[in-house]
Amino acid sequence: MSQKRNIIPWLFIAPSLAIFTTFHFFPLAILVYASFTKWNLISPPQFIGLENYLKVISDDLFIKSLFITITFVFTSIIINVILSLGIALLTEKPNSKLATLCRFIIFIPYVLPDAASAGIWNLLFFPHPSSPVNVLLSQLGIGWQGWIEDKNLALPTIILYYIWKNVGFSTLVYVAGLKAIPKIFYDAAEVDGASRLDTIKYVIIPLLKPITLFILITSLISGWQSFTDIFVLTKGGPGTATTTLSIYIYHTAFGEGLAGRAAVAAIILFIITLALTIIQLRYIKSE
Amino acid sequence: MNKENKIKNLIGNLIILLIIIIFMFPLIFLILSSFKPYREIVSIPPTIIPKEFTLNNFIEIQKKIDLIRMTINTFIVASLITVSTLFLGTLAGYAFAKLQFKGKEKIFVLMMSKLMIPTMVLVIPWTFMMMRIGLIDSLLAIILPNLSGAWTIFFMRQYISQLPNELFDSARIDGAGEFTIFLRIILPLIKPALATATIINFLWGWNEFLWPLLVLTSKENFLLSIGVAFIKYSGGVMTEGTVNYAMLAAFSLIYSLPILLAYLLLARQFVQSIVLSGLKR
Amino acid sequence: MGEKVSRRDYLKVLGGTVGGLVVGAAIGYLAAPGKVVEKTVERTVTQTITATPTVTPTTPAKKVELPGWQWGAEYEAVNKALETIANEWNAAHPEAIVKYTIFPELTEVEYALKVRQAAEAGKPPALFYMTNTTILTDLASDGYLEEPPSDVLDTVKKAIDPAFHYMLNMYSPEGEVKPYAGAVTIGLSACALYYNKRLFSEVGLDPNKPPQTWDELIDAAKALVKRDSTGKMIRAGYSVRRGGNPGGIGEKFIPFAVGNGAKIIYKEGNKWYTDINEKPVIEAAQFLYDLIHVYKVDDLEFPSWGYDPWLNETCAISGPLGVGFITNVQSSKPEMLPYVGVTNVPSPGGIKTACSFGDLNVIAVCSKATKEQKEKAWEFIKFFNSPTNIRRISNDIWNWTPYKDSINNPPFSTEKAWQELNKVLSNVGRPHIVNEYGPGWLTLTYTLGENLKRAFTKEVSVKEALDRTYEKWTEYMKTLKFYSG
Repeated sequence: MSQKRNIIPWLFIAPSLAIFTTFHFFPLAILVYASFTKWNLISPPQFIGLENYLKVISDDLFIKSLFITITFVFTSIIINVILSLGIALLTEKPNSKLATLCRFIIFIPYVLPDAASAGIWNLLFFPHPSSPVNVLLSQLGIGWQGWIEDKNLALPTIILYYIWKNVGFSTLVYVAGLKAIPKIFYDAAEVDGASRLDTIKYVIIPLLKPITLFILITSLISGWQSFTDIFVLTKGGPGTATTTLSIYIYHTAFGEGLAGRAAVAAIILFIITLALTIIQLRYIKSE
Repeated sequence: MNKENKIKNLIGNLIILLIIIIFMFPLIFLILSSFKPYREIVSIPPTIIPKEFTLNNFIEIQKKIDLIRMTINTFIVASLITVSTLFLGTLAGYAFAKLQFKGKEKIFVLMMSKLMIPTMVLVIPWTFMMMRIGLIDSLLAIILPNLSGAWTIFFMRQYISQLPNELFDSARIDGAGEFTIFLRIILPLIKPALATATIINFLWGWNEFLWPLLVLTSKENFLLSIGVAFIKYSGGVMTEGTVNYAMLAAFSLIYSLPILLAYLLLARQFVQSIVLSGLKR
Repeated sequence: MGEKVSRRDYLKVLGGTVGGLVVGAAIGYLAAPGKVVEKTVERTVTQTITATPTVTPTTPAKKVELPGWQWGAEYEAVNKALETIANEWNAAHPEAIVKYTIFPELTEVEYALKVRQAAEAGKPPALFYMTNTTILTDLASDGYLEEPPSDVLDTVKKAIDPAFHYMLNMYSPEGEVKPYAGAVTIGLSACALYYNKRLFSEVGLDPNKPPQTWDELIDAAKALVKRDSTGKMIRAGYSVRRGGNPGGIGEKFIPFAVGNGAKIIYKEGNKWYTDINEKPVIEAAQFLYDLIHVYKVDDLEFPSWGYDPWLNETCAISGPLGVGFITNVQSSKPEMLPYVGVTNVPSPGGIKTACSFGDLNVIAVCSKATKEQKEKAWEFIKFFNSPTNIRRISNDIWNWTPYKDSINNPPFSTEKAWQELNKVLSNVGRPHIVNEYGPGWLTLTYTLGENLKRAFTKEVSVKEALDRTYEKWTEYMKTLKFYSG
C-alpha cells in the first residue's frame, strides 16, 4: 500500500514538472547549445565554437549595455530606498488619514501594468514645450528639454521612472517593518533622551537592515531583467543611450538575427540573476 | 514644546500633501488627456482640463486596432493563466508541503530554480519551438509556458505547511484519498492564499509583453500591452517621428482601468498580496 | 478497501488534471485565430475524404483568408484608402477576405525576421498590403516574394508612368532583376529637400535660390539657425536624420553619398560590390557629421527631425524626405503650403542628384502562401489596380505616386509645391537615381542607419561606422547564391 501511496504525490507535481521541463529547462539547454552556433532562428544552426563568446565580450555595445544597466539599476534603487524610508517614517503616524491616503496613492504606479505606466511617463515627458514637465521647467525659468529623445537625459528619465514606479512597494515594505519594531526600542531611546533624528539614525535604520537588504536584492533582480518599460519608453534610447542588457539581447536576436550571440548575452544575464538570487536565498537562510 | 511639535506636524503633513499631489498628477493628467484631441496636447500654451472634450481617441483606436478585441484577448490570457497556475500550483504546493515522497527536497529546489531564469533568456528558444509546432500567432503560445508557476508552488507550500497535520491524519485514517483531502479539506482552508495567488498571477498575466510581442502577428490576437508599443511607434496621426500622445493616453487608460478598479476596490488585498510576493513580475 | 481507494484517487487526480488541461486547451483554441480551428477542421475533413478513394470531393467555393502585413508610413489618409479598398473587396469576395495587420513597433529588420519566422511556422502572410520596398528587397532575394503573373503586371504597368516601371523591380534568388511589386501605394521617398520659403526671406536668403552645393547648404543652414539668449537652439537650420527606424536613417543618407559620386551597390563582371566604406561615402558621412558638430546647424539634443518640426518652424530645411511631405502639409497645416520650397539634394559639384527610392511602398504577394491564397491575392491586386482604386490611393487623397493619372491631374498638376517637386524629379537623371536598390539593400541601409546613428553621437568614428556596414552587407551577400556568380 505504501508503494501505491507514493505515486500520488508524483501525480500532484507531474503537470507542473512537465511544464517547467518543456518550457523552461529544455529551452535553457537549447539556449546554451545555441550560444555555440551561428543561428538566425530560421535556418539550422551551425556550430562555430567559442566565436560568439569572443565576439560578445569584445563588443563595445555589450559592455556599454552592462554599464547602462548597472548605472540605472543601482542609482534608481539607492534613491528609491532612501526616498521610501523617508516616506515610511513620515507616514508612520497610525491615525493620520492623510498618511494612509499617501501610501495608498504612491502604490498605484507599482500596480499599474508596465506598458501603461511607461505610456504615462511618455505623456509627462514628451519632447515638446507643452509636456507637463517642460511646462514646469518653464515656470522655473529653465528651457524645455528633449527628455527621452535627449541622449544625456534619456537615462535619467528612466531612472526617475523606476523610482516613481517602485517607491510605493518599498515604502509599504518599510512601513510593515516599522510596525514590527517592538515598542521597547522606542521606549529605551526615549529614556536615553535621544532626539527623533538620533532615534532614526541609531535605532531604526539598523533594525531595518534586513528589510533594506530584502528590498535591495529584490529590486536588483527585477531591475536587471526589465524590458517592457524601457522598450516602451525609449526602445534603447536615442542612439544607444539606454540600451540595457535586455534590450541588447532583444536587438541582437531579433534585430540583427544573431541568435547565437544573443544567447551568450542571455546566458550572462542568467548568471547574474542566478548570483543575485543565491545571495538573496543565502541571506534569507541566515536570518 | 507643543508648538514645535505642531509645526513639525504641519510641515510633515504639507510634505505628505505634496507627495500626494505629485503622485496623483500623472493619473489625473492621463485621464484628462485621454479626452483631448492631439493638437490640444501639443498646443502652446498647453491645457490640463480639456478645452475640447472628445471621445475621438477611443473611437480611432477601436477602428485602427480593435480595442475591444484586444481587451477580451488580454482578459482571456490573464484568466487562463491564473486558473491553470492556481490549480496546478496549489496541487504541487500541497504535495511539497504535506506529502512524502522520494527526492522531495531536490525536486522542489529544481522547480524553484525556474524562478531564476529570466523570460528574456527563454524567448529565443521559445520562438524557435513555437515555429516548429506551428503555434506562432496564437494565444495558446502565450498561455502554454505559463500554465504553472514556481512562485505559486512556493507560496502555497509555505501556506499549506502551516496547517496542522492532524486535519489530514484523521481524514486519512477515515480512508479518504489524497485528492479528496485536497479538494474537501485543504482548498476551503487556504482561501486567503488562493485570493493572493489569484491577484498576483492575474497581474502577471495582464502584464505579458515581450513574449506576445514576438509571437503574435494577427491584429485579432493582439494584447493590450503590445497595443501601447504600437501606438507609441506608429505615428498615429503623422509619421516621421511624431507620436499621438492623446491616443497613447487613451490607450494606457483603458489598459490600466481594470487593474485600477480592482485596486480601488480591493486595496488591502492587493497590498498584502504584492508585498507578500516580494517579487515583481 | 484501502486498495480501491488508492485507485480511485489515482483516477481522480489524473482525470482532474487531464480534464483541466483539455478545458484549457479548448478555450485556448477558441482564443486562437479562427483559421486555426478552420484549418484543423479542413485538415481532418480532407483527410477523411481522401482516405475514402471512392469519394471525389467537389471543391466548393473554398474559403481562403488573405492575411496582409503592412509596414510603412502611417499616413492617415492612405490608411483610410487602403481600408476602403479592402472593405469593398471583402464585401464582394467573402470567400477571400483580406485581413491586414500593421507592425509599427518593429524596425525593418525585425519585421523581415517576423515574416521569415511566420513562413517557417506555416503561417506566412499572403499579401504585403503596403510594405516598404527596402524590406522587400532582401525578402525577394531570399525567395519570399512571388512573381506577378503577366496579366497582373500589365495592369500596373499600364497605370504607372514608364519612367517609373523599374521601381517594381527587385532581385530574384538567382540575382536577376524582376518585377515583384503588383501595385504601388506610396511613391518615392528621400528624394528632395524641403525648405521654408518664408524663413528664407526672413533671414535674407533668396527663397527661389535654394542651396545646390554642400557649401551653399552650410551657409544657408547657418543663417537659418536661431538660438535663444542662453545659446540654446530654438530653430535648426537643417535637420540631420539620426532617429527613428535605422533603415530610414540609412536611406535618407544615401542621396548625399550618391551626389558625391558613390555607387552604393554595383555589379562588376560576375560579382557584386559595395563602395559604402570608400571615399565618396566617407566624405558624405563626414559632411553630415560636421553639419552637427562643426557648423552646428543642428543640435543632437534638439528634436529637429521629422515632419512636425518643419510644420512648427523649429526646423527650416528638412530632408531628404519623400513626396509624402507635401501630402502631410496639406492634411495637417494647409496654411503652410505656400511656404513649401522643394529642391534636389545638394551635392559638392552641384549635380542634380536625388532619390533613394528604397522607401517606395508597394503591394506584393508572399511566395510561401498556399496556391489558393496566391491566386486570390493576385485577383485582389488586379482589383486594386482598377482606375477607381488607383484614384482613391492617389489623387483623392493628395498622395503622389508614380501613377500617371495622379501625376498629370490636379492637385498635382496645379498646386505650386507639387509642381516644384515634379521639376526636381524630372531634373535628376540617371545615373544619379539609385534604382533597383541593389541586392542586400535592406541589410545595407539598416546597418548603415544603425552605425551612422552611433557615429553622429560620437560613439564610433565615421570610418568605423561605414566599415561595419560593409562587413554586414558582405556577410549577408555571402548567403545569396548569386553573390559571386
